[in-house]
Amino acid sequence: MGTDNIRMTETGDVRQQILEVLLKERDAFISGNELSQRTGVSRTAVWKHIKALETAGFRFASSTRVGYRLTEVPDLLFPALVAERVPAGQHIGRKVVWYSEVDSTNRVAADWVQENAPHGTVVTAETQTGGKGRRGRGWFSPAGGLWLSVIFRAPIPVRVAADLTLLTSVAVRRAIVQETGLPVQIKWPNDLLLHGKKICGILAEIRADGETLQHAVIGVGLNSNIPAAAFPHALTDYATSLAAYSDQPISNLQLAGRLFSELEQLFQGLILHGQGFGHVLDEWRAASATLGRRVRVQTPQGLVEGVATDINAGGILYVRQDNGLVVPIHSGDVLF
Amino acid sequence: MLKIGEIRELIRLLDETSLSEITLELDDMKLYLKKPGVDAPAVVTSAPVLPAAQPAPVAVAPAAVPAPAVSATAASVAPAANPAESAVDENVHIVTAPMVGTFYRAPAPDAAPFVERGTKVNPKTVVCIVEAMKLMNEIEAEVTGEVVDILVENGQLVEYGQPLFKIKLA
Repeated sequence: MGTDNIRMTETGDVRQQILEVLLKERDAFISGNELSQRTGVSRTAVWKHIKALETAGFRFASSTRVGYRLTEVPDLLFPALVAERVPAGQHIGRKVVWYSEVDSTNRVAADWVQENAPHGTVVTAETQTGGKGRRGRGWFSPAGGLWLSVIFRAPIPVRVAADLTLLTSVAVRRAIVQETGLPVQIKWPNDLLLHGKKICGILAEIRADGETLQHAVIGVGLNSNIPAAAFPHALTDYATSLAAYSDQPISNLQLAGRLFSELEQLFQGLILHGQGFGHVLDEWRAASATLGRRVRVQTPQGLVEGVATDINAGGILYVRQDNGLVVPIHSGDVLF
Repeated sequence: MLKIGEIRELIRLLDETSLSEITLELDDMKLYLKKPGVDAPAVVTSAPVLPAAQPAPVAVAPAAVPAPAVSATAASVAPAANPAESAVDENVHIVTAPMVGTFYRAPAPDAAPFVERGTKVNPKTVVCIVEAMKLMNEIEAEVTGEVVDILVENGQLVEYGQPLFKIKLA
């Protein structure tokens, strides 16, 4: 991480406290002296934190006599800004750790797991320098996208853990549809497509204790507010963004707020009532870009070609080959 | 290589469709399944689509398929090849698959394997990944010792409970 990297953690962090005070009284000037008293650091330290916040995109009106007033809030997942969108009692998004830049939010989230970060903690970054895809592949993660990892801690059976990525795909789709109305589809098992191109990938990493889940880190990479022109040439045939198909700028804060609410609902259903992927199977089927289509699936066991006929409650895709044989597929990449 | 559970699924698929036979050829095996004649339907199952994990079809399906011809080579036979060792050696810990998925010996295709035969491990050492639905399950050794056998090929589909590694306890 470079020296310019900024990190925002939970309440208790001084920078966070300063921001909370200024957010709460957005129309008023707050003196440096008052900020100093309320946070317990020197006025010089307050000034340094204000400068750091400006680097991150906040704007302040400041005057030596009257102090600081917040004039502009960036569309970033700062804990204080997310907190306004997380209702009391909700786990997902209760604790947010924001970075200006990380290698991979999944990797950093694994560090937070070691620090005993609670269930529902979200690790997010403005950019990723080493965003992770499946099996060591990269993920293009410039500023403007929604790059986050959710820490899931609940003792669910490992044999149903794969439901987490499927449920997450449904939650992300719901959030996008609510926020933008765009016709987002799901490509098996959990990619999201917009007009046939990828806009979201989901990758989870888990650890288990025997047959019980210890924790999962569920990574979501959503190409939200990335201009179409920002994609490298090699990706333009395969990837796009919400912004590319929207007249208005996409709010990552709004999207994240909706996503956390949907994840909360689906995850609580799984944790408390054992409602797994089967519970949203019909919704997945209705949103599927895969079922009923001719597909080629690159699996670790070889290429499977045919018509995708169905998916079961375990997420297994059935492909009917031309010779009539129906092959069940557990993992692989669907190629069009 | 197909696992018993997958063959079971194929049998069930055969039951639930109008197909009369299935032939599947993979690199290392050939599978042929055939339904009895239409005149003599051997299976009556009123259940709707069952999740893969449901045990019900297990007892019913074989009756529906007289003599499924399954010929397999190498990998599936391996555990049986040295039953004496695994049966009596209490100093060997078997790491098993906690879920159905694809077995990977390395974090990425071009990366070095997590462990090899002879690698010393502790309970937290990651020995492999089992993937399902883009969920990567990093399997830990659970014991301190030395990897003495790797029972599954990279990229192979593994069943719930399938032995993956033998670790000689330190």
